[in-house]
Amino acid sequence: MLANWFPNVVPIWPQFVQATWETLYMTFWSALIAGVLGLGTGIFLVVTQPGGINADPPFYNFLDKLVNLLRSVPFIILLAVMAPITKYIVGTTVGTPAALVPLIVGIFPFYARQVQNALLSIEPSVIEAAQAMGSSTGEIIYRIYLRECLPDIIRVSIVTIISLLGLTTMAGAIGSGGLGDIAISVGYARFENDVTIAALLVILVMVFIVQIIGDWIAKKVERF
Amino acid sequence: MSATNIAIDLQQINVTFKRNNENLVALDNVSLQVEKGSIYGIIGYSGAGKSTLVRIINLLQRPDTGSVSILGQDLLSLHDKELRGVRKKVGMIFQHFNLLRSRTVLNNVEYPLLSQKMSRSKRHAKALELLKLVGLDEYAKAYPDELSGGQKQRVAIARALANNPDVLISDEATSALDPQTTEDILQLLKHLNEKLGLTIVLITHEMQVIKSICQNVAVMEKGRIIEKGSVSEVFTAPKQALTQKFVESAANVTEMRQQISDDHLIENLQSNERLLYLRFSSEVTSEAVISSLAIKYGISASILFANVQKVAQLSLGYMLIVLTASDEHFATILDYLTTVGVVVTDFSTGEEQIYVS
Repeated sequence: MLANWFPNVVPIWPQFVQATWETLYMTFWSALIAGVLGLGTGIFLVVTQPGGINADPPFYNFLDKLVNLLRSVPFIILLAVMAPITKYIVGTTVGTPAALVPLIVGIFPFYARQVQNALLSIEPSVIEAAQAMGSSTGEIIYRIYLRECLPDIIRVSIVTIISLLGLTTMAGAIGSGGLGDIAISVGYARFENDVTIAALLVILVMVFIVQIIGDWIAKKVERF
Repeated sequence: MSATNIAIDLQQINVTFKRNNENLVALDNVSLQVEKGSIYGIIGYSGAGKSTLVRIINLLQRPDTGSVSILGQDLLSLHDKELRGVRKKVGMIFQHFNLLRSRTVLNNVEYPLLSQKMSRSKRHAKALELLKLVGLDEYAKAYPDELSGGQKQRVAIARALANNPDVLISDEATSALDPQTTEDILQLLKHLNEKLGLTIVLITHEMQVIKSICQNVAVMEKGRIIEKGSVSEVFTAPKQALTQKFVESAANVTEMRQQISDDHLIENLQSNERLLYLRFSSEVTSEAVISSLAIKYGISASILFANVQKVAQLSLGYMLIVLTASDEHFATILDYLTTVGVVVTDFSTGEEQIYVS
């Protein structure tokens, strides 16, 4: 069946499988690192905002502007602009690991903003109640903000991971490998449309799986 | 009041908020002392500074100037950590309950205990005991959004008591509740006050709340305490117009005043009729006044409105009557009424003319 519908995928099957792994690799590691960075930034934004539990308006303004700035850079340009920094950190600008740097820088501000919005759904009066009960800043972050907003944080994480899957395909432009790379450099360049469609199908399956697992977790943690 | 008897001592508190280069005075030289084990009510309209004032007690709001002493401890000199310790001894409940929606009722009550070294089972037991105290132990496993407003407030009260506080601050805790539930919550607070010796400071805009459980009251307006003292003292002889208004509001007199203008009562008076508003306390009763008018002066008065309310064991009466009498007759009647201790307000002329003995 594969030979019938996707005749051009069969000869490059090992390459196709590897591309799938590369996409998973890029998505996983950049999601993990950008997740930590974005969560931290989101928390800092909420905590240091004017009226926040550790208000620090100058720091907040800096962070806020930085997030806006990074979010305004088109990803394809970010890939190019980041090259010297990537070379400094990874030692090379091509290959799958090298793609992680621009992917992280591209996605974490997006995630940070969404985490910030999720955390802001907590009524200020609930935070005030926690302060009145003698909770420290750390306790309020951990026991109120993160705990109360966990379902929302899971939901924005899913949105972020799905966006990230999209970004990994663009990273093919700098030789990162992955399904995006194969769709363009094989499917598009050699007019082998079936390869492009096969790559697309695999990515769609990944998106569905992420969505289903994410929704299930979000529902699970609604109350626990 | 000896110094050791004071739970809360606020001296000359000033708070100014800056908004768009404009200075808003929230508290203007406010001093307040609350005796241990008493229930102190602070009444005022929204924007009067009540919320800011109670937030001074646990330093959720820092004053610009003034001193804050809770159970003999000067709060303004404390470090963050010490302050958090004091806050654990000052419980607080709110108008909108502020429960944690992702946690069960039991876990909500446990929340203040999480930062203590306490075993899980001990914490459970303590929380359950508190839920029993507020009559909600059956709901331990429920979530806040499955409860009614009154039940949520009971959970909030149990949570506020978790650290065995000495003081409980109530920030409009009954304002979002219906009258019956309000009364239930107030009786619960009174019970806790008596059982645990809890000092309670509550703020409200409803006279009913003050009347129901407070021993002392402070009336606030525009960031100042304009009148304070024992409830009986302040409400039997209110000195300020606002205080008077609050006292009357509890006896539906506010509605009566509205009725006067809605029904054009003053415009419709005959030339020999007068619209009088009488206020009196326990010693005089409404029947006595009306019947003596009839017997002594042969005058009948028609009663448009009458109400009596009990404030701190005293009955306060309010009556609106239309009196038919000539001018000189009226002077004699007025003389009689004021001598027996009735405060008479004559609405007939369009302006309010007040007569007191």
